Amino acid sequence: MRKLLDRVYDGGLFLAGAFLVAIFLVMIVESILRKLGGYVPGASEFIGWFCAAAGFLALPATFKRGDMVRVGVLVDAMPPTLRKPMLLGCIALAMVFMSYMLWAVGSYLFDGWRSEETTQGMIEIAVWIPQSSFLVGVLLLWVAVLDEALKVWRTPAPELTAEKAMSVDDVSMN
Amino acid sequence: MQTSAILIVLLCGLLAGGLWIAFTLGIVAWAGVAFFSTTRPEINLFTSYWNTYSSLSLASLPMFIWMGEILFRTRLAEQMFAGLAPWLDRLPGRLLHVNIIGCGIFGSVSGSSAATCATIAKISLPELAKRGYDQKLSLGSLCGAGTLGILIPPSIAMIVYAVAADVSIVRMFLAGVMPGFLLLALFSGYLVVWAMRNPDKMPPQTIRMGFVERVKATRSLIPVTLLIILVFLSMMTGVATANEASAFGVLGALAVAGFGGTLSVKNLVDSISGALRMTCMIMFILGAAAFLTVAMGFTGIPRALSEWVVSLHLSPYALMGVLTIVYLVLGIALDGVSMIVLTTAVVLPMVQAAGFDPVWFGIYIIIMIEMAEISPPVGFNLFVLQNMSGESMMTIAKAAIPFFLLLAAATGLIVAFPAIVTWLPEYAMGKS
Repeated sequence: MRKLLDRVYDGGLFLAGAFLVAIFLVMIVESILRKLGGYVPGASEFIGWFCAAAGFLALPATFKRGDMVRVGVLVDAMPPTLRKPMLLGCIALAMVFMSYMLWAVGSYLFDGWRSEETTQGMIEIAVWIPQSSFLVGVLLLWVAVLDEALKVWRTPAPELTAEKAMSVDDVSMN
Repeated sequence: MQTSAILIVLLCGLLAGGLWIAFTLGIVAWAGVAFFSTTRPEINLFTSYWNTYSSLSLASLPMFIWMGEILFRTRLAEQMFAGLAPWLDRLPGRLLHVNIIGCGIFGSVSGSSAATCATIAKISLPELAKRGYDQKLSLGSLCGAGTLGILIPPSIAMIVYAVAADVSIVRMFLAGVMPGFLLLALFSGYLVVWAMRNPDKMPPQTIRMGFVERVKATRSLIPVTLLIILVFLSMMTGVATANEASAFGVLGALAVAGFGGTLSVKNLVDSISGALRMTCMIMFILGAAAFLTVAMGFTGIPRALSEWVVSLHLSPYALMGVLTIVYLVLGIALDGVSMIVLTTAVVLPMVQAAGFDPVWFGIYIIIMIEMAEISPPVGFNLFVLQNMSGESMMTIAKAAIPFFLLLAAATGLIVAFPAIVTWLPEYAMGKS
């Protein structure tokens, strides 16, 4: 189970990486063609959709590696017995919000699918297709938050901290 | 009004309680929409996030971050040291200026403050220590000048601000140029004065080169110069859009890595992974911030705040003085991106009502973030240097105090002379 979940998160990150490279390629090809007087049909739509897909699909891996920012100084200053309930409270709130978000995104996409709405602009496809990256990203993040909740629940209180230890590998994060 | 107060308390409580910033903003935004409007919060949530994520102006963000990630893994800094040192060794302050000028140049191809600091420090800390330079001044100048990474374009923080405050990215970039030069001058000037007053603490000139040799050494600056032309000038002169410039930046960075022999599969994968996680973290906050901005519109809190501030009849100086103190306090706990999004949802309408230009205010916020990056306890530049030098964080924070004060002085200057910020964008692109 542990292995499967980690694979799913990494898979999301890998797909997001493919979209990142795709944004890069579309931008380069588009600007070269533009100088030559041509254009890529729907380039700006594709860039927007790819950008969204990259951002959403990377969510679970980003969350699980502790790269989401939070203010941890206060929590970490608490005694361990108090810190654990606080951290669990945070995750519970995150879980509630993610469930709500999952429902909000799911029902929005479902409406789009049922009404057979299409995108406006150069490329005309069913509107739920590009937007499905949002649903997949939120669904995987929901799983990752639940996964993290179980981990915090099982970890003994003294070993828990809110703030991820700073690492020099994260320099471009700041 | 009471419900508004509850929202603000909720926001502060959740933030301080350690809930992730993105979730905090989302929850407060939901409460705002649910209690202050008759619209359906879930529809607002979807459109806020989706419009932010798929907006064309955000597309340069992952590219510039990726470019920085690639360059961080190249030998660009070594080349810059080799090219700059022969010229700077003759000035009072000698090779310490490499810290300042090096960070300034690397800042114009990188959008991150800590990456700039770490890249230059990796080369210059050991070189300067070997030659017997004052360790404290070396660390302080690296710490301070590293923050130029987010002031000299391209800048991740500026893109975040431009998207959140809905101003032009290129205009923000242009606005950062003159304040960037101002800080370079202030930092270098401080080194000159220090060197003149403490001649006994300065090691002798070590690089003896003729003029021709020095010109030859300058050749190692060619890659970085080409990169600056490719990204910066193409954008400034209108040849490329910000998005195109960012993609060419990645292409150029890949070329630099390829010619320098650092383009391995591992480096490439690491750079993509790092860029994605950084982008993802920022975008998730920006989506939530867009949701919060919609909610704030319904609550009327920003409007009430701006009317209140206008009714106080404060002078612009008094207002900026108060805000500066607020930001210095916020900077103790918050990171740069969070400082920006909270600002644009709540503070910006108030500042605009008091007559400040949103582009100008963006630069002001950037300088506030720079100050936060070099002050304890969570200043990331302090942490980077602590790791690289082995000194304690407090020692480095103390060494950075003069540079913190110079940043404060620069803030005073741009408040007194706003044209330092607004002249170049207005000259190049007309009034907004």
